[in-house]
Amino acid sequence: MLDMTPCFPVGTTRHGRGSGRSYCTTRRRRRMSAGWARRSREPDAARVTIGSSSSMPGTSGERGAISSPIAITARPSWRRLSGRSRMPSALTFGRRSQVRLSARRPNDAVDQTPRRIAHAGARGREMTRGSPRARLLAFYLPQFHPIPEQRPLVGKRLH
Amino acid sequence: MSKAEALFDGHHQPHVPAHLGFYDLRVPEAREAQATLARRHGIGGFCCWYYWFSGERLLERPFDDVLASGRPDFPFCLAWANETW
Repeated sequence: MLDMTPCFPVGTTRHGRGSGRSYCTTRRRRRMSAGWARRSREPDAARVTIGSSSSMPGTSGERGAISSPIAITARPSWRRLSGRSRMPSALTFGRRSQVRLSARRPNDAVDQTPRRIAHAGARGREMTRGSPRARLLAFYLPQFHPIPEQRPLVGKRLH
Repeated sequence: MSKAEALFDGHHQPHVPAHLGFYDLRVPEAREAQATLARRHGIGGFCCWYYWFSGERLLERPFDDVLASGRPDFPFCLAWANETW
Protein backbone atom coordinates (compact mmCIF):
# COMPACT_ATOMS: atom_id res chain seq x y z
CA MET A 1 0.00 0.00 0.00
CA LEU A 2 2.83 2.31 0.92
CA ASP A 3 4.52 1.69 -2.37
CA MET A 4 1.51 2.98 -4.26
CA THR A 5 1.65 6.40 -2.70
CA PRO A 6 2.79 8.84 -5.36
CA CYS A 7 5.33 11.47 -4.39
CA PHE A 8 3.93 13.88 -6.93
CA PRO A 9 0.39 14.96 -7.77
CA VAL A 10 -1.81 12.12 -8.89
CA GLY A 11 -2.18 11.91 -12.65
CA THR A 12 1.22 13.38 -13.41
CA THR A 13 4.73 12.09 -13.36
CA ARG A 14 7.51 14.01 -11.76
CA HIS A 15 8.50 14.92 -15.30
CA GLY A 16 5.17 16.56 -15.79
CA ARG A 17 2.30 16.00 -18.13
CA GLY A 18 3.19 15.28 -21.72
CA SER A 19 6.79 14.49 -20.87
CA GLY A 20 6.55 11.24 -22.76
CA ARG A 21 7.39 9.21 -19.69
CA SER A 22 4.62 7.18 -18.25
CA TYR A 23 3.77 6.98 -14.62
CA CYS A 24 4.87 3.34 -14.58
CA THR A 25 8.27 4.11 -16.05
CA THR A 26 8.82 6.70 -13.41
CA ARG A 27 7.90 4.28 -10.71
CA ARG A 28 10.20 1.61 -12.12
CA ARG A 29 13.12 4.01 -12.29
CA ARG A 30 12.42 5.06 -8.78
CA ARG A 31 12.36 1.48 -7.56
CA MET A 32 15.67 0.79 -9.23
CA SER A 33 17.33 3.56 -7.34
CA ALA A 34 18.54 2.02 -4.08
CA GLY A 35 18.20 5.19 -2.10
CA TRP A 36 14.64 5.68 -3.11
CA ALA A 37 13.71 2.10 -2.51
CA ARG A 38 15.04 2.33 1.01
CA ARG A 39 13.27 5.59 1.62
CA SER A 40 9.95 4.39 0.37
CA ARG A 41 9.97 1.38 2.67
CA GLU A 42 11.34 2.87 5.84
CA PRO A 43 9.71 5.63 7.79
CA ASP A 44 11.74 8.77 8.03
CA ALA A 45 14.05 8.57 11.00
CA ALA A 46 13.66 12.23 11.77
CA ARG A 47 9.91 12.06 11.67
CA VAL A 48 9.77 8.99 13.87
CA THR A 49 11.61 10.80 16.62
CA ILE A 50 9.28 13.74 16.87
CA GLY A 51 6.90 12.13 19.31
CA SER A 52 9.36 10.25 21.44
CA SER A 53 11.98 12.90 21.92
CA SER A 54 9.63 15.66 22.92
CA SER A 55 7.92 13.42 25.46
CA MET A 56 11.19 12.15 26.86
CA PRO A 57 11.79 13.64 30.29
CA GLY A 58 14.73 15.96 30.51
CA THR A 59 14.81 16.87 26.88
CA SER A 60 11.71 18.95 26.31
CA GLY A 61 12.28 21.57 28.97
CA GLU A 62 15.77 22.73 28.11
CA ARG A 63 15.23 22.38 24.41
CA GLY A 64 13.05 25.46 24.36
CA ALA A 65 9.95 26.40 22.48
CA ILE A 66 11.21 25.55 19.03
CA SER A 67 12.39 22.20 20.21
CA SER A 68 13.22 20.43 17.01
CA PRO A 69 13.70 16.68 17.12
CA ILE A 70 16.50 17.14 14.64
CA ALA A 71 18.61 18.79 17.27
CA ILE A 72 19.15 15.57 19.18
CA THR A 73 18.88 13.22 16.27
CA ALA A 74 21.69 11.94 14.15
CA ARG A 75 21.43 12.47 10.43
CA PRO A 76 19.11 9.91 8.92
CA SER A 77 21.16 6.86 8.24
CA TRP A 78 19.88 6.24 4.73
CA ARG A 79 21.85 9.27 3.65
CA ARG A 80 25.08 7.91 5.08
CA LEU A 81 24.38 4.44 3.76
CA SER A 82 23.60 5.42 0.22
CA GLY A 83 26.45 7.93 0.20
CA ARG A 84 24.52 10.21 -2.08
CA SER A 85 21.05 11.44 -2.53
CA ARG A 86 20.08 11.22 -6.12
CA MET A 87 16.84 13.02 -5.97
CA PRO A 88 16.70 15.67 -3.31
CA SER A 89 13.13 16.43 -2.51
CA ALA A 90 11.33 19.13 -0.66
CA LEU A 91 11.47 16.90 2.37
CA THR A 92 15.22 16.69 2.25
CA PHE A 93 15.66 20.41 1.98
CA GLY A 94 13.16 20.92 4.74
CA ARG A 95 15.18 18.70 7.01
CA ARG A 96 18.41 20.51 6.23
CA SER A 97 16.91 23.85 6.99
CA GLN A 98 15.62 22.55 10.29
CA VAL A 99 19.08 21.44 11.22
CA ARG A 100 20.42 24.89 10.53
CA LEU A 101 17.60 26.42 12.49
CA SER A 102 18.36 24.33 15.55
CA ALA A 103 22.07 25.08 15.38
CA ARG A 104 21.32 28.79 15.63
CA ARG A 105 19.49 28.42 18.89
CA PRO A 106 21.35 30.04 21.79
CA ASN A 107 20.91 26.93 23.96
CA ASP A 108 23.39 25.04 21.85
CA ALA A 109 26.18 27.40 22.72
CA VAL A 110 25.75 26.72 26.43
CA ASP A 111 24.84 23.09 26.33
CA GLN A 112 27.95 21.03 25.69
CA THR A 113 26.45 17.76 26.89
CA PRO A 114 27.03 15.01 24.39
CA ARG A 115 23.92 14.25 22.46
CA ARG A 116 22.40 10.90 23.03
CA ILE A 117 19.34 9.46 21.58
CA ALA A 118 17.98 6.30 23.06
CA HIS A 119 14.74 5.61 21.30
CA ALA A 120 13.44 2.35 20.04
CA GLY A 121 13.76 3.25 16.39
CA ALA A 122 17.50 3.80 16.42
CA ARG A 123 18.02 1.43 13.53
CA GLY A 124 19.22 -1.42 15.67
CA ARG A 125 22.20 0.31 17.19
CA GLU A 126 22.63 2.78 19.94
CA MET A 127 23.41 6.30 18.86
CA THR A 128 25.44 6.99 21.93
CA ARG A 129 28.20 9.41 22.66
CA GLY A 130 29.27 10.12 26.22
CA SER A 131 26.96 9.84 29.20
CA PRO A 132 23.21 9.97 28.83
CA ARG A 133 21.06 12.99 29.64
CA ALA A 134 18.08 10.75 30.02
CA ARG A 135 17.66 7.03 30.22
CA LEU A 136 14.82 5.14 28.67
CA LEU A 137 13.40 2.45 30.96
CA ALA A 138 11.10 -0.34 29.93
CA PHE A 139 8.51 -1.68 32.36
CA TYR A 140 9.35 -5.27 33.11
CA LEU A 141 6.39 -7.50 33.75
CA PRO A 142 7.29 -10.65 35.67
CA GLN A 143 3.94 -12.24 34.81
CA PHE A 144 5.34 -14.46 32.10
CA HIS A 145 5.77 -17.56 34.16
CA PRO A 146 3.33 -19.79 35.99
CA ILE A 147 2.84 -19.44 39.75
CA PRO A 148 0.78 -21.58 42.14
CA GLU A 149 -1.70 -18.76 42.75
CA GLN A 150 -2.83 -18.97 39.14
CA ARG A 151 -3.77 -22.63 39.15
CA PRO A 152 -7.39 -22.33 40.22
CA LEU A 153 -7.91 -19.73 37.52
CA VAL A 154 -6.21 -21.17 34.48
CA GLY A 155 -5.77 -24.81 35.33
CA LYS A 156 -2.61 -26.54 34.27
CA ARG A 157 -2.42 -25.27 30.75
CA LEU A 158 0.64 -23.24 31.51
CA HIS A 159 2.54 -26.14 33.02
CA MET B 1 -4.46 -16.97 22.08
CA SER B 2 -2.63 -18.27 19.03
CA LYS B 3 -5.81 -20.01 17.88
CA ALA B 4 -7.61 -16.74 17.37
CA GLU B 5 -8.76 -15.99 13.84
CA ALA B 6 -9.06 -12.74 11.96
CA LEU B 7 -12.77 -11.96 11.65
CA PHE B 8 -12.65 -9.04 9.28
CA ASP B 9 -10.29 -7.34 6.90
CA GLY B 10 -7.55 -5.60 8.83
CA HIS B 11 -8.27 -7.54 12.05
CA HIS B 12 -4.82 -8.26 13.43
CA GLN B 13 -5.29 -11.76 14.83
CA PRO B 14 -3.83 -13.96 16.14
CA HIS B 15 -1.32 -11.98 18.14
CA VAL B 16 1.71 -14.17 18.49
CA PRO B 17 4.97 -13.21 20.17
CA ALA B 18 7.48 -11.79 17.73
CA HIS B 19 11.16 -11.86 18.54
CA LEU B 20 11.42 -14.01 21.62
CA GLY B 21 8.62 -16.49 20.99
CA PHE B 22 6.59 -17.98 23.83
CA TYR B 23 9.03 -17.55 26.67
CA ASP B 24 9.04 -18.43 30.33
CA LEU B 25 10.80 -16.04 32.68
CA ARG B 26 12.00 -18.91 34.84
CA VAL B 27 14.41 -19.71 32.00
CA PRO B 28 17.69 -17.75 32.28
CA GLU B 29 18.15 -17.70 28.50
CA ALA B 30 14.79 -15.96 28.10
CA ARG B 31 15.80 -13.21 30.53
CA GLU B 32 19.14 -12.86 28.79
CA ALA B 33 17.43 -12.56 25.41
CA GLN B 34 15.16 -9.82 26.74
CA ALA B 35 18.11 -7.79 27.94
CA THR B 36 19.98 -8.28 24.67
CA LEU B 37 16.97 -7.14 22.68
CA ALA B 38 16.40 -4.14 24.93
CA ARG B 39 20.03 -3.09 24.83
CA ARG B 40 20.09 -3.33 21.08
CA HIS B 41 17.18 -0.93 20.87
CA GLY B 42 18.54 1.69 23.20
CA ILE B 43 16.67 0.80 26.39
CA GLY B 44 18.68 1.94 29.40
CA GLY B 45 17.21 -0.44 31.94
CA PHE B 46 14.23 -2.42 33.15
CA CYS B 47 11.73 -1.10 35.65
CA CYS B 48 10.48 -4.30 37.20
CA TRP B 49 7.08 -4.45 38.86
CA TYR B 50 7.41 -5.47 42.48
CA TYR B 51 4.28 -7.11 43.85
CA TRP B 52 4.29 -6.78 47.60
CA PHE B 53 0.89 -6.99 49.28
CA SER B 54 0.82 -6.73 53.07
CA GLY B 55 4.02 -8.64 53.53
CA GLU B 56 3.40 -11.17 50.80
CA ARG B 57 5.30 -11.12 47.56
CA LEU B 58 3.97 -12.43 44.27
CA LEU B 59 5.62 -13.13 40.93
CA GLU B 60 8.97 -12.60 42.61
CA ARG B 61 10.86 -15.41 41.00
CA PRO B 62 12.26 -13.78 37.82
CA PHE B 63 13.66 -10.82 39.71
CA ASP B 64 15.04 -12.93 42.54
CA ASP B 65 16.75 -15.18 40.02
CA VAL B 66 18.28 -12.20 38.24
CA LEU B 67 19.53 -10.82 41.55
CA ALA B 68 20.95 -14.16 42.68
CA SER B 69 22.71 -14.97 39.41
CA GLY B 70 23.74 -11.46 38.43
CA ARG B 71 22.53 -12.26 34.92
CA PRO B 72 21.53 -10.57 32.73
CA ASP B 73 23.95 -7.79 33.52
CA PHE B 74 21.47 -5.01 32.78
CA PRO B 75 20.43 -1.95 34.82
CA PHE B 76 17.16 -2.27 36.72
CA CYS B 77 14.95 -0.59 39.24
CA LEU B 78 11.81 -1.69 41.03
CA ALA B 79 8.31 -0.26 40.86
CA TRP B 80 6.15 -1.25 43.79
CA ALA B 81 2.66 -2.05 42.60
CA ASN B 82 1.07 -0.18 45.47
CA GLU B 83 -2.40 -1.61 45.12
CA THR B 84 -4.42 -4.67 45.93
CA TRP B 85 -4.32 -7.69 43.72
